[in-house]
Amino acid sequence: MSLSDAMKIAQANFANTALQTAVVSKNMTNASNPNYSRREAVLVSTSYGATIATTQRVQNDALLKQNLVSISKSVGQDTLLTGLERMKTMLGGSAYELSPSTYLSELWNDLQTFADTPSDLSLAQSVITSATDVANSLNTISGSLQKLRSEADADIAASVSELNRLLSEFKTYNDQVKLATATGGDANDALDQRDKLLGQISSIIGVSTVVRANNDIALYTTNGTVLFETLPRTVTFEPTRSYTAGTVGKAVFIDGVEVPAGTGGNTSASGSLPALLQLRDDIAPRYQAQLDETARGLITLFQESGQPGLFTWMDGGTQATNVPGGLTTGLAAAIRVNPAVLSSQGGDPMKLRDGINANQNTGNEASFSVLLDGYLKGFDANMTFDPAAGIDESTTLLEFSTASVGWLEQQRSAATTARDDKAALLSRTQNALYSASAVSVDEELALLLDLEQSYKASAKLVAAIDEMMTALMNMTG
Amino acid sequence: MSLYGTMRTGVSGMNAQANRLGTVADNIANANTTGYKRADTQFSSFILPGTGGAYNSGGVNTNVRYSISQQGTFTPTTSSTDLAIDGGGFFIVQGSDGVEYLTRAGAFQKMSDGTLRNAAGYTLMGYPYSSSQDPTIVINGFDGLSPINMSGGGQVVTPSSSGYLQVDLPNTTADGETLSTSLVAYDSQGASRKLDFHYTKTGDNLWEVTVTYTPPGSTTPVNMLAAPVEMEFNTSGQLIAPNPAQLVTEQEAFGGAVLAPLTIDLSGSTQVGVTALGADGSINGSGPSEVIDYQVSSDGIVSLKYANGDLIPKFRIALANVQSPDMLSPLPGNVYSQSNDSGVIVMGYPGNSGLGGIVSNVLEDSNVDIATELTGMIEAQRNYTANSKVFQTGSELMDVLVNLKR
Amino acid sequence: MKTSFVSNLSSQLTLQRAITQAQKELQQRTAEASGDGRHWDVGVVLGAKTSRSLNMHRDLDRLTSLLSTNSLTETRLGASQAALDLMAGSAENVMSKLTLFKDSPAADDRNKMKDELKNALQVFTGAANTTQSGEYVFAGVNSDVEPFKDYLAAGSPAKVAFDTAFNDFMTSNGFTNDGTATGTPDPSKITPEAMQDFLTDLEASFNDDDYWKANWSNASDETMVSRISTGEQVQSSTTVNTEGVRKFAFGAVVAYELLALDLGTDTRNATFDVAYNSIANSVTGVNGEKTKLGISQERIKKANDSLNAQKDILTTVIVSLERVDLTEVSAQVKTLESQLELAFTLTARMQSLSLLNYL
Repeated sequence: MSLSDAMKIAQANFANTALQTAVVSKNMTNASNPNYSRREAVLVSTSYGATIATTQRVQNDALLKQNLVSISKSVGQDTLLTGLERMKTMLGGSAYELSPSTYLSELWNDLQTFADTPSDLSLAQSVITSATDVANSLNTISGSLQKLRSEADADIAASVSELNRLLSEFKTYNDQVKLATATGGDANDALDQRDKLLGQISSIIGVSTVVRANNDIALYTTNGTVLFETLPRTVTFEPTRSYTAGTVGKAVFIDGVEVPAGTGGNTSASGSLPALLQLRDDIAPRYQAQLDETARGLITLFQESGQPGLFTWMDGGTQATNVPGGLTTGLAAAIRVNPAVLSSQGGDPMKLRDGINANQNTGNEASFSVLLDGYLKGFDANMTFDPAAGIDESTTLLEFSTASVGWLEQQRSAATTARDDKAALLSRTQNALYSASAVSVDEELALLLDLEQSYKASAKLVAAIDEMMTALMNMTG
Repeated sequence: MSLYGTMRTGVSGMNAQANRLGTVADNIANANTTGYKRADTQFSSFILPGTGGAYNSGGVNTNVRYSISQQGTFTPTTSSTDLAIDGGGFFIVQGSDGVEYLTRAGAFQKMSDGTLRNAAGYTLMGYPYSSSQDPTIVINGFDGLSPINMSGGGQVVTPSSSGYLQVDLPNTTADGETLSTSLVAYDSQGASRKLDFHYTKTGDNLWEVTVTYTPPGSTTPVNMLAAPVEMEFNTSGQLIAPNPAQLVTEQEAFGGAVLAPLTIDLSGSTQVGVTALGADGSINGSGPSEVIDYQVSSDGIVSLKYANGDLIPKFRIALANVQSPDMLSPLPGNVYSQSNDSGVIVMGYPGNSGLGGIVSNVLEDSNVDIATELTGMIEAQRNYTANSKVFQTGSELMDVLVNLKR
Repeated sequence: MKTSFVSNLSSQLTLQRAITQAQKELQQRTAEASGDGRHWDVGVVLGAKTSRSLNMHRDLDRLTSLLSTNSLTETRLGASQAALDLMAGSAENVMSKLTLFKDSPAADDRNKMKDELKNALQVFTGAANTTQSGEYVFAGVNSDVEPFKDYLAAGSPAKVAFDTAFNDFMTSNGFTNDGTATGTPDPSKITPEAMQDFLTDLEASFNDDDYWKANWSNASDETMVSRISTGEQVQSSTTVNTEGVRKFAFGAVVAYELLALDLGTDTRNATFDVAYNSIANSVTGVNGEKTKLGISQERIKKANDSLNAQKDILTTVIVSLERVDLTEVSAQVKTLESQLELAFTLTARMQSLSLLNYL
């Protein structure tokens, strides 16, 4: 060892301190960046005696994976809940003012009142108004439901193109990571970007990662479909612009394999894509079937002389003359109040009392209530509903309509509870992840103080060596 | 015994110290020369045999030595072609005269012709890389060496040849149901070919694997296997057939390119109670990529770094050593040549016995210590003065002697 | 490699989440406490039970609407009772007037009596045609037409029928000034026996439905029936086709038309007896109808009591389903407030707890 060596070592320390300070300042700059993993400049002794700093990135693979799972579960649940909330809004506020069950109950009440005073035209009018409300409510909700489906379809299309974009971006950063790892370069920034992209991808669809040679990552969906392996796999989807009750939405394919929709209120969906598929292909059509069965129940209940009575339906462009025998998809959108009783269309509301298809009040009595009493009895009688509706198959029309609301609220209630749970899990996972990999400014500041001391000491060393050299020079003088 | 003898002895002493000052001057001048090894002077007495009471003063003999085997400190640099040897041995370089020399100065730069040349203008020598056999190394000669050349790094393609695919098949799958996964392979021209692997359950613990490739723009998959491969699992879900657990795809031609038969290792596949297909697989090979950097490993292999992360070895740096490195004869430009006393040149690779490893991005400093040199200089100065005093005294005595006769 | 297991991001996030969560909860609890006391989101709390809640709401609405239709029915019954009282009153009035003028056969007195009877008949007619919210209460189910035809109206079919019958009787029996069928009728010639026969025939025709409906009544025989509870229906009106009304009409017409004539004393007495008895019977008949309606009124009261009780029970069940426990909510609000305060304090503390402040 010599003075020159001492000088060199002190010089090297300046370089190391500078690099460490740069890392510290980068850490501090990114203290609030959730996609940043803390770096640490580590001093290593190399075999040839020098100490140089290398930058290491804090990484906790287990937490990162857990975080991805939490993100996709939470986003999937959120997406489903948003859809269910929208369906709930179609039914009005906390009293379900706009639901068919509410209007049905009003219709029933008005019909009772009318049956008590069958001579009163204004009461007949109010029954017709209630009936129009019921039909309108079924039409509107059915329309909104199909709009929800078409919007879900558009969201799926947007998600799919976003997913394709993210995957191609993922390739860029994955290649950078591979290269840097293979050649011993600094992969840290690319790793940050790749982790961020993983988060974004898993909010669309749940992924599991498989790490291969050179830190190359292959992505699989939770169902085992290849999403990315060396190259991004194509995600294809053919959007359907407009929806009616009978429209069947197209499936999403990843690498030629169909993406399954989520199931249940506490959905199995990972990411927004399966949740949107669930909304479009399961929840909304199921509710539509319930509406259709409600409509069929109404037409059946008010049928008269084997033909549709107070309620009829549009079969294509014309008014139907038959009572549908079973689940008729789209009936809720097609149900109408018979124009024969609508005074606005030249009809007579009193036909409700006397008979629409044939006059039953041959005595022309003002308080004739045989038909009305018959309808009221119908309200109390059990009807048979299609099992596709997913609720009671044999119950009264009124109970069926409230059970339909109950079904929706059951889904929503389960979804809300699950959303809270999943959001809490995500929050905890993120916290753990951030605790492990994000920056603590205090820690960095403390480190900075350390570095400052080290720098000062090196400077002192250089000064001392310089002084010694000067002394030596003076001696030669 | 004579006054002249005394004066000659003084002159000899002054000459010796002048030599010493000369080495000090060189050392200080080259304190920052990469790979410079300090010179040192050693003296030996030259005493004449005395006769009785007479003493004949002799002189001092100067012997210049070089601390060639003493390693200097390292300075990190940012150039990957800056090389240093950590341990014994020398780079073999070729001067513009075509003669090989030894050096420790590794500040190489890539020249326009792809060769590596250091600050003194010497070109680094080595052997073309071969993974299968080491080149024949000759003793006491530089035969078989060629300049290390980093040019010629066009696009490279590594066609796929093998891979592995380890799957966890869900045991709840119904018979006849098919699960799919895929892997990317590269053909002989570096185009990516996505191979689809289909697993169809045919019975309890039995699955049938088919591999297909769907050309772009087509919807008709091409079968890549001569016949479907039957996979069988034992009761604990471990793969028992095929044995060995692998499948080999057919060679497939795509226009002018060929996808070579791929051996896919299936070992580790299981049939377990998972709900969805789990897969972990990879096929080797890479698409076209260009040279982006160089890398010199510690065992002296010079590789081209390609954009896909591949390292393609091109050359291997050879190191040489002699039995007595300090006895090598120094030449301008930090190079040494074999001398009679140094022993024969022995060639070898970095890391071989007696030879150090190569460190990239680092330069070896000179082993000169300024403080030592300065103190040596002061010492030489004083010694010189003392010798001059001896000479002066002799001279004065001669003066007295001459003045005896008036 | 990391030395500490805390980062600014995680500590910030923890507090941020705590604060937003607490604020959201606080808002919801406050809304629950200050609003109608229902859960913030009833559907989420109830889930599938929402259908039960909706069914109970519907039943509650049904009970409320039954109660309101019951009050309508009660009003109708009340109006009917009042009208029946009027009718009975006018009958009694006729009886007293008849008694008053029984022994005063002078022409002046007869005309006075005729005026009184005309008044009474008008009052009766008015009462019989009482309407309640546009419905004629005595019209049975044919409630949109005036049930009792006004005898005194010009060209009234009842008067025409009576006049025709009376003229036929006079001329066929020869009670004319010249004793022939073509002579001017002379009431003084009517014998008590002939009058008795005529009145017997006339009464019989008043009791004949065809005659009665053709000349006097537009009402249907079927009375209105109202549902007063989910399982009970009661008669909620009576009609002018009842015996009381017919007897009054008969008695009043006889008294009005015949007692004003210059009859022989015996004939007059016989006529008087028939008219008086008929009116007296009509009071009994009207009172009978009153009793029937009274029973209905009683049933309605009972039904209302039971409806109100059911309503209370349903309301209690709905409340227990949908309402929050206010004590619990206010306790929660207090807890949340202190949590928020703590979170705010902690945030401020942690901001000041930075190494920066000590350098």
